[in-house]
Amino acid sequence: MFLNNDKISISQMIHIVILNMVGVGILNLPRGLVEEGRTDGWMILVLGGLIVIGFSTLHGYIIKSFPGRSYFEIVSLTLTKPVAYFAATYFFAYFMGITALVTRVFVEVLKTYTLPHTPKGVIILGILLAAVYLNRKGIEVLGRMAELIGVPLGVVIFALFAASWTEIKFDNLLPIFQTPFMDILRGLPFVFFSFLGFEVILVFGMFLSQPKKLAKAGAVAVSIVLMLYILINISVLGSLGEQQVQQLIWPLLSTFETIELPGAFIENVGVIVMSVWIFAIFMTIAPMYLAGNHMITQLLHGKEHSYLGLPLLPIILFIALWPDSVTDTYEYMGTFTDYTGYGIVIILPLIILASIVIKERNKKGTSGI
Amino acid sequence: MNKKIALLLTIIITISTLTACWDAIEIDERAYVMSLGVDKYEPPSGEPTGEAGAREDEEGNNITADVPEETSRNRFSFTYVVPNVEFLVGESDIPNTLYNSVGENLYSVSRILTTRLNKQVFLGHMKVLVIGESVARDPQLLREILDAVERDQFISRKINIAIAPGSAKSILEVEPLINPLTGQFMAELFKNKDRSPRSGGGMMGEILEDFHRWGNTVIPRVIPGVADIKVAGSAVFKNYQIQGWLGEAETRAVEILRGTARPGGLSVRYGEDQQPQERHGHDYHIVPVDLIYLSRKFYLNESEDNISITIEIKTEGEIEQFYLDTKHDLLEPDMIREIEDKICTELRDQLEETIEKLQKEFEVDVIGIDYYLSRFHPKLWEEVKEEWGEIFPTIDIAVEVDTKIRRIGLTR
Repeated sequence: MFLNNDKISISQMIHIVILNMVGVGILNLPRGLVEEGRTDGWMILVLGGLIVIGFSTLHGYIIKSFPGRSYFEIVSLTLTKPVAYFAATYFFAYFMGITALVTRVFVEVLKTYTLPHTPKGVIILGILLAAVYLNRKGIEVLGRMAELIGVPLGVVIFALFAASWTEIKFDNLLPIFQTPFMDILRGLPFVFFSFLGFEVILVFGMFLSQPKKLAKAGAVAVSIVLMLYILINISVLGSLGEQQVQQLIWPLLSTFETIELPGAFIENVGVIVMSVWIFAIFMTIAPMYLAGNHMITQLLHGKEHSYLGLPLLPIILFIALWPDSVTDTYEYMGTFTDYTGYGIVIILPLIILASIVIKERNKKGTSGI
Repeated sequence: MNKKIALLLTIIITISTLTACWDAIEIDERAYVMSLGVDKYEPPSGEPTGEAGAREDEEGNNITADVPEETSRNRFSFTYVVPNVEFLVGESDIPNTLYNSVGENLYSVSRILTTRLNKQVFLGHMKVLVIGESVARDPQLLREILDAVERDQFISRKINIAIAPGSAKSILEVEPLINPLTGQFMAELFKNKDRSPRSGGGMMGEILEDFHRWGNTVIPRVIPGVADIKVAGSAVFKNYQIQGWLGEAETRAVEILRGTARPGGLSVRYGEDQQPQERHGHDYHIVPVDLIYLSRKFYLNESEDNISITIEIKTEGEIEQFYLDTKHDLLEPDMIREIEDKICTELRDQLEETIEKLQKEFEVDVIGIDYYLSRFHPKLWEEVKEEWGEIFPTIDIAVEVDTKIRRIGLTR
């Protein structure tokens, strides 16, 4: 158990996936939902969540079919080697870009609320160096870290929700069932992107000690995140109201600013939310970084990923410093995930699935004859 | 040796990276603004402005800086109340320092203020924002200020906001006897749990919510005294512009109608309409009732052509005082019923009067019928929302009050 054999348990995997999904998306999730479907945003959320559960099961199924194989090997087995090189590069670019942009959003929030004069580069270096340090020993340490943070974080989050419960005016959640079905479908991409992060299953699946149970793990993780998102949406929309939520860049943080803990010695609960959120964001950056790290190692047929960890840092730093402003950051993030998200999460896995199904049918066909 | 070098390096790196020296600020380098007053800048009439306005003493030395000129840049006049730290520890007799400065916007004035203040102006601990009537009359100025306050990441959404008839500066100049720290005193007035519903809630977050919704709201009024400040009554806003004032009883009525009233007291006159021989020598007895519970509900009567709203108010009360005699018996159910009816009539009259004023005089819906319709009757709301400002004065509003007297104290 104490050996570093690069194996993680199902529970560790679930923790990693949950914490990886909960990151920058929750900050503006309520605003996006109101923009897409007004007070019916929760319907988009539930529908989108169910679809994402489906895809996470698909990812789990792919990994399950090739236990212990890396994603590069899976793609080369199913779709030939050149495609595998392309897929690995694509994945690598995706993980690098998403790590950098998430880091940048983190910096923007931090600079707004707490460290207005600290240079961006220093904050980015601070969190990335911590991520590199955590990733140096690989997935096993990351899994333990996720388990270590996951449960206390959950307790704090639920305590905060309990405190916000008194502020909620449930009338703010009305009216429901007023949005046309087409508008709800149109809102699905937004929700889909706020769930991004579960695709690390594809990369980390090879380290599982019991890959057979993976399909369920993805579904469990996504459902927990879906429940958290529903809670957040109720809490934020209920306490601020539709029109106000639309005006705020990060409605989640603003909501918790208005909470008054009865008899508490802390004037501003926002500080607690902020520190909890920094843990969550760190656990988004670190797995994404590690996934990118593994992708490039597989691409170069390296044996040990840790040598490539630190050299990636300047690339991420460079991309993170690229956007000029907070507006640009969100703009780039939207464009970037548009070009990569669908391919990584939907198209490639579906092609792999098709290949698996065809190959099995062929096998059966030949044995039958 | 290597270990020692490594240890040394670790310590140096840790010290240099973890201290966050860019944002380090000492607590005594900041001027904590407890309350901020916002007025429209009006140059003193008849007196010279600019450097000519600077007053001199007998020997010809300047004793005041020059009076600000009336230019397009001098739009606001801000009053910053900074509590004196030495007063808090008992070393000084001056509780507050007031800084008054004029300029184009809140940010630049706060920055320019540092030319005559040796500290950084920090608004993060602000408790109360007082807005002068002149700003409240100008929607553009008001919206600028509210946006600046909402946008600022350090100003909490929990601060209180009040409108001053006249200037905000005159409010902040008062040093209340019980707590001379003006900002803190006003914040405590707002926070008082026993506070009567004679002024609105006045919390910044809620006011902003209202403004973002349809631009209409009520904001508490604050009135200066000689050695105290009173938060009572309220200002009615329509499209970010003040429409007029509501008195204290009217404000309570609006708060009840909005469903945000804290329960308060109400006095009725028992026996006013009785025959002279039953009066036992007195015209009537005053009965103050403590209302311990209030709830309000809207109902839309769908059958009628015109929009017709029924407002149902439910209250519970305790009798606080009657009359020291043996003839009346409050344990008699009929008598309680009679007092209950009186409370209902009294409350209904007050509410209807206020509704009339809102509909006919101010023509603005601040009691939340728009909110009710948009939540519970979204189809109807879609039809009327564009012209709600014109429709609201014409709708029928009926008030139904139901009172239960639960307790009568220790005597019959």
